[in-house]
Amino acid sequence: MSKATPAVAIEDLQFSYDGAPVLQQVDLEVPEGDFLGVIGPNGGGKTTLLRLILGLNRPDRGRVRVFGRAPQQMRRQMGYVPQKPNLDPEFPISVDEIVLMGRLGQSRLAGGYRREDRRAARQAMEQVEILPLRGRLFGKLSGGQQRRALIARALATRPRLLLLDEPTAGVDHRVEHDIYSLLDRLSEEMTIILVSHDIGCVTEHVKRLACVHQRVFCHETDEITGNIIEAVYRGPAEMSRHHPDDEERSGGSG
Amino acid sequence: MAEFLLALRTQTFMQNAVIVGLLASAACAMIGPYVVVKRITFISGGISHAVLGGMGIAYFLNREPLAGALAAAVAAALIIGLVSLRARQREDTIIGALWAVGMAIGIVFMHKTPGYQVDLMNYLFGNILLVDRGHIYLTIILNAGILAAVLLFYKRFLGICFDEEFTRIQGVQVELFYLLLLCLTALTVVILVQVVGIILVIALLTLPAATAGHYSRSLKQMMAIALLVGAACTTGGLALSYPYDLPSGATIVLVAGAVYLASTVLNRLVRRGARAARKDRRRG
Repeated sequence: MSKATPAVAIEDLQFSYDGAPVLQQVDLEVPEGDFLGVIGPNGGGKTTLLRLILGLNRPDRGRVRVFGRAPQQMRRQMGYVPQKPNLDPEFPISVDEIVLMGRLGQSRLAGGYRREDRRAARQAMEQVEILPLRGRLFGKLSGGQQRRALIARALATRPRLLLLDEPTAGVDHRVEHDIYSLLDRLSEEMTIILVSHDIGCVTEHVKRLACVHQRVFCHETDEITGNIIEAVYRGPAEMSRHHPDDEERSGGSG
Repeated sequence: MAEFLLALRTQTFMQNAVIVGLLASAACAMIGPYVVVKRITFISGGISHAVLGGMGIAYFLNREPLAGALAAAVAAALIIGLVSLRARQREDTIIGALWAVGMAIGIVFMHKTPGYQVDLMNYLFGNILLVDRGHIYLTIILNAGILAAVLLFYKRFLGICFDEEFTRIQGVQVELFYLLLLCLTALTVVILVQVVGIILVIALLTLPAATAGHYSRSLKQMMAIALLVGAACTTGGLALSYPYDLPSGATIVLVAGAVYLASTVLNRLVRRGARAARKDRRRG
């Protein structure tokens, strides 16, 4: 039997926004069961990479496959926790109504949610420990509680692949710690891709690290050194110099 | 008040007016909350003003003006919807253009209509006292359509209003349902044009829903409270306008505005009171 289908396979991808290249020459394979951290400078293309995997943006060149198929077809297998969601704090909506939205793709087209949907939502809220908050207004929750609610919404989908964009931005240390231990637990059940700017914390938890700055290079967490991290922030050329595979390809330019 | 009740008991025009007012409140209660939370008040304004174009053309062709209004409202909703989905940067310019051009078309056609000149003021500011049986039946049909769509697609509309991107990732055809929501807004506008006229539509569409928003914990609740507020404002406005011979549409809008203002002030005071009480508790 051939190798198992990877959760995400990106081949020779290029994406530009308004003519400016955001990502180029990207090859990335995320095997099923991986816990991949994505780091890189602001504007380096981290969020764009997630959006390409979700099929919200289409690549100019190359292709993205999620579990072997086009991202648009696999959306029901993906859970997404957006970075800073553009949500209205005055919106009259309770936590459980938001978590139920994770069932929109799987519930029936018309009418209300099914019992199965409510069960999935309840389980998701239990997993992130916000079940007692289910009747509360979303806008009245603390920042950490709102993050948990959004993670629960993504889990209600019962995803095989969970994508999180800076889930710990702007929350205090205790909440950050809670979220990371939750992700540790979840990583045993599903593939996770986690975008973060907090390199120290990320390397403690993830299995592999992808450095994104126009180009993407993957490292096992135990081979990560200060030099590599520094190089990522300096620029794509510098980053590739610290990448062993690329060195071979480009004839040892480092 | 006694005069109003007497007219309500004995005069068909007053009974029709109250019935249409209540039906309009129901439409506003279903669609107004979406307009408020999705922040598409300006889009609704564009749709309602473009309606005059359809009414003018229908009038010129000697057809029922409300049929023209319906066609123009749905056309405007689709044009604005497609523009806002495809070319977000120019959205407000195009809504503004449709707004003014629609009215200009209406005025030109009305001016060129031979014979008895229609009172433009009735279209612009409404005259609920001219409503007849036919209008009531049309309004019931439109309301039934809106109710069916909201019952069927409540959770999808809620998703689109709260978080469009996440809803798209769930595989929902966001564009389709957004256009459907705008078309339902167009139907509501046509119902409201009879009650308060083209220019005042926005007020009835948003004020009862925004007032309800002060007391709601969910969109469903917002709809229920908006229904009560809307029904009270239209009926109250009619009752107030009749004995003093005030224009009915404008009086209804003034009542709705006063209710919203009072509710906002009350809401502020209650919140401030709650904050002070919390502070006291912490100190004590």
